Amino acid sequence: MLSVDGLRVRYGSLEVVKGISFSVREGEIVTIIGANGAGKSTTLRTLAGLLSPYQGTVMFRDRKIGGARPYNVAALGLRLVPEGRQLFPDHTVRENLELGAYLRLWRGERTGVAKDMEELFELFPQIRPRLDQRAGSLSGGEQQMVAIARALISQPRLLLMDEPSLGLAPMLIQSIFDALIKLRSRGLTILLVEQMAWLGLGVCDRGYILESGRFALEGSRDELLRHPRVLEAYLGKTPRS
Amino acid sequence: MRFLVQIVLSGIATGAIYGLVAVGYSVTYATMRVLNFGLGMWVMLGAMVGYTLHVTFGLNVLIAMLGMMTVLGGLGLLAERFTVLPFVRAGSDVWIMSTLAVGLLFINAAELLWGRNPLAIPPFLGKDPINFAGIGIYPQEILIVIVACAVMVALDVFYQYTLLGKAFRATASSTEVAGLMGINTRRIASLAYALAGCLAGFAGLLVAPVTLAEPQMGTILGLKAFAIAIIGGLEAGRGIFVCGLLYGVLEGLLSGYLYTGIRDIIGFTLMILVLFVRPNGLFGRRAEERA
Repeated sequence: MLSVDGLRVRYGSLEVVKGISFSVREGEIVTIIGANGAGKSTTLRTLAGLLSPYQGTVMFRDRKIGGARPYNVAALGLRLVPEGRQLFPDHTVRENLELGAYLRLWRGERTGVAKDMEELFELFPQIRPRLDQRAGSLSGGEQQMVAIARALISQPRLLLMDEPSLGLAPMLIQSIFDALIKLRSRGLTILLVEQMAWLGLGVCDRGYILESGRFALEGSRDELLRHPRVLEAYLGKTPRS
Repeated sequence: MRFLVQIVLSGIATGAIYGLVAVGYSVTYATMRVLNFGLGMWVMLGAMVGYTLHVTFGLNVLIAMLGMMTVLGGLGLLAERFTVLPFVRAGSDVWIMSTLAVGLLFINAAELLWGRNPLAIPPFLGKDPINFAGIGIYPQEILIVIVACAVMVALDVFYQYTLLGKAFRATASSTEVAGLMGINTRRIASLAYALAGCLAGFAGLLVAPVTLAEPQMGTILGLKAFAIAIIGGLEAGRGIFVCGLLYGVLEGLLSGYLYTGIRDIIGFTLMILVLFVRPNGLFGRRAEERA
């Protein structure tokens, strides 16, 4: 579904992503783990069209999208839930969801969108009572749920999630990740970027460890969870000898 | 007392025109952080094109209004594409000059096409003032206030209740995130520029029966509207319109009770004073309030 080959991204003369290659297949959850400044968000922002690659190719559903504009990338079915939620704070929650479904509503899918909204309320029951509230007035956890719902209502082919746990209390993090597991069981393809390794690796099929703009490790969830380097550097455990 | 009421009523009418044009500045600033510094000249062009359609061709005023807005809307799309977008994309501030240059081009073109002499557009609702309790008010002034308020309500309905309007607000909130929603933010920017031109042209045709249409009619008006947009707070559409109304009344009072010449200097004096106390304008919000 998504294949990235030799991706390099620069901010001016500073190279942040230094030639990474990876792929995401239909129906799987792939996680990129890395510390602050490793280049995780930059990678996702590039895939979503917010940044242009300096080098490398990005193919999504057999189309080259590297350097395409965000709205063109979104129209192909790739949807980013950005870091820090980034809802439209002065719009109501309902309007945020409508804007998530902008392209569908433009195509006249009003009934389908209303039906999907009901399904999303089952996934995130906290949203329904807040529908007519300003999105900016919600708590961090509620905002994250709306941000995910806003992306899901577009019926994405691939969901990119940038640090969904950021700034949330542990209980809320758990409910967000429970929702991800439910989405996974429905066959949604997700590329997740996460600093908290145990969370990110806990839900994925495969993962990559990004260090200073390069992949240091890659493998299946179990391989990574057992890898001494991951255990020591990312999970805070001493590997068994 | 009658004199005072007369001044206030006329001031509201003048203020409604200022308000409409000032909102035009806000429309482009809020969505694309660009100001059309030649917007006053779009006011003039609206009046001139309206004159041709309504007086020269004898079209019904509503059809002339629609025709004029189509012409100005089209010009807005072209002007944005060729005189704003290239500079915005290059990260250059040259659009400040290019928007003004387009306005100056309009003045020269108007002088060539319509001449330098003022052109009279007959008032849309008759010439004779309506007398009420000894106060005479021109029907055109009443029309200006009603229509300008109706346009503001329509604009509000557009922003609050239509999908495209919500996309405008989303783009104003964050171009980046709006793009992630699949909103073609490029198109929204073009439409915003065209909408601002239409608002200015609309104001021009509305006020022309009172002031006469001539190539320089929009220059001072545009500057005053700019000051009002700053006083109101560039992103606060409704607040700006209210400021326009208040400004018109204040201008009327000062020129009526002091002397006429003061009219053209109060705008920027007020602007500087307001910015001194509230840097984001009377109705504008600080960056931290917006977050």
